[in-house]
Amino acid sequence: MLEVQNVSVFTGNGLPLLRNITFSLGPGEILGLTGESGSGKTTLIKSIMGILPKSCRLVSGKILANNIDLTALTSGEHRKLCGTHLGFVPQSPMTAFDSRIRLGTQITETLRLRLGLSPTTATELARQQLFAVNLSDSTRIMESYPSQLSGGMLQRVAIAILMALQPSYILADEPTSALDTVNRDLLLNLLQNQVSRSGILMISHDIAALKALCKTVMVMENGAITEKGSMEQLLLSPCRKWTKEFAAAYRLPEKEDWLWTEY
Amino acid sequence: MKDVGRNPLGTVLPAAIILICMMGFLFSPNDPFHVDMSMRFLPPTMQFPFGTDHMGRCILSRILEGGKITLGIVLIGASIVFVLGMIMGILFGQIKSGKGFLLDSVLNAVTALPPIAYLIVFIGAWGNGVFTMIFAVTISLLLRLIKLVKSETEIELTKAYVLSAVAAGVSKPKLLLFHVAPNVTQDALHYICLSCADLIMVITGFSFIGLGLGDNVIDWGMMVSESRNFVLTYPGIMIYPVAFILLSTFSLNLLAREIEKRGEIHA
Repeated sequence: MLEVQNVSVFTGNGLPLLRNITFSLGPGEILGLTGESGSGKTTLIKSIMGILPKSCRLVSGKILANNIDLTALTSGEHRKLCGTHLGFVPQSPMTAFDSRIRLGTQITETLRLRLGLSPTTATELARQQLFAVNLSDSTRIMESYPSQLSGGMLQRVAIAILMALQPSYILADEPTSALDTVNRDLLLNLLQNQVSRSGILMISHDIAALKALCKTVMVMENGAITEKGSMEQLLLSPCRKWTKEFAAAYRLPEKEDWLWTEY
Repeated sequence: MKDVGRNPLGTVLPAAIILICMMGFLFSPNDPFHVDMSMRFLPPTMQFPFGTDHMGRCILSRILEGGKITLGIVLIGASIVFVLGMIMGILFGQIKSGKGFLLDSVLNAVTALPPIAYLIVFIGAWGNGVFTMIFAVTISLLLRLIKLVKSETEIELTKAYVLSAVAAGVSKPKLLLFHVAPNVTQDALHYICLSCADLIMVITGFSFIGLGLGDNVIDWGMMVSESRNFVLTYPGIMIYPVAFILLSTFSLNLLAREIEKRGEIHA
């Protein structure tokens, strides 16, 4: 069980980024998180992972992962849980890798460090996982530097690493932002399969994906969770202004090919 | 893909020139200190490839000996600066913001003075000499490099790949050693190469005006200074050391450019 209880995060000069966030995520559950840009979605994931920027502080609240209070851990202890217990898919794939190291090295190093594998088994596992995310040309991928691949490919590499690590909780920050439809569907399938082993918190603006995967979706506004419910429910009866606009924008293309306008 | 459009000569040639300037004294044809008044102002011969100066000393041997001293000071200083600067810069760079205020202020205050000011202060206090020069060169460069590496480290630490590495569970020492350090090295090396070129000019400049490295130490600036009286009749005496000063600073600048280019491939 990953439990976030009354978490508040402030910037160094006292502005609130997160206000009293509370939710829990059990294994076998996919929780959606959506909301305006800048509403604090990424900050929430960063505070769970313990990678808040130096200028931000977690002021109050607890984050419990399997009854271990993450906020009470030293950063060293926190890091030991990262990767194995808590997995993270970064938002911008282009900057998520070290530009000076070949991808193969970055993947296998992570697997060796976190799973204690030997170099050959790590390479073998890396190839399998790259194949699973539809990157069949694994030799070329592993020989490449991050700047030589596209955003979508890097995003899939990041997912491949995560799937190899098999963390108990996956925090995915817009995992499909750079993917084409085929690979997006593939990735959503992968996440769906993963759910038997892990709990997943997925940030997304993709209504179809949220609808298909998540039983519960939370909407964030100005650092607070303002609405919570299934996607259908949110689309049918949105309460807040942002959710209404969001729902309206989704319905728009389904209308006839002409629009009512007032005269 | 990595090596497309890159000529290895661009790195090898300047490095070789610097190495020859520095280590050439091992192969010098004559004793650079040997005075023979009967051999003054000889034109280039097999025995004296660049001829002899106003005291009958072999110019080539003196240039090679001078190169050992000038480049030796610069390169020893630079290596100390590089190692210490990288270590201290990276360590200071990961101090949480707010806590490093005193350190920041000190670094800013100290680096506000130009490096030449340090040289003047140290030479004034301890008299001229090779070790004073190495010390002054090291101090003046070190503080600047620490400042550079520190701010670069701060920038690197906020980048997404560092966050991802932490999120994948890498430990802090490993993060600094394998991710931050290699990404900072390029700029540090670039800076060091350019500073070395500057320092060659500074050292030769100082010894030209007589604030050099002490008596009985040959360096290029002093050779130029000594040859001033004969430059119209025997221009070779001055041209050779000047050419070597030019060649070595040019090579260092080329190296710096080559390092810069190498970084662009990853960007």
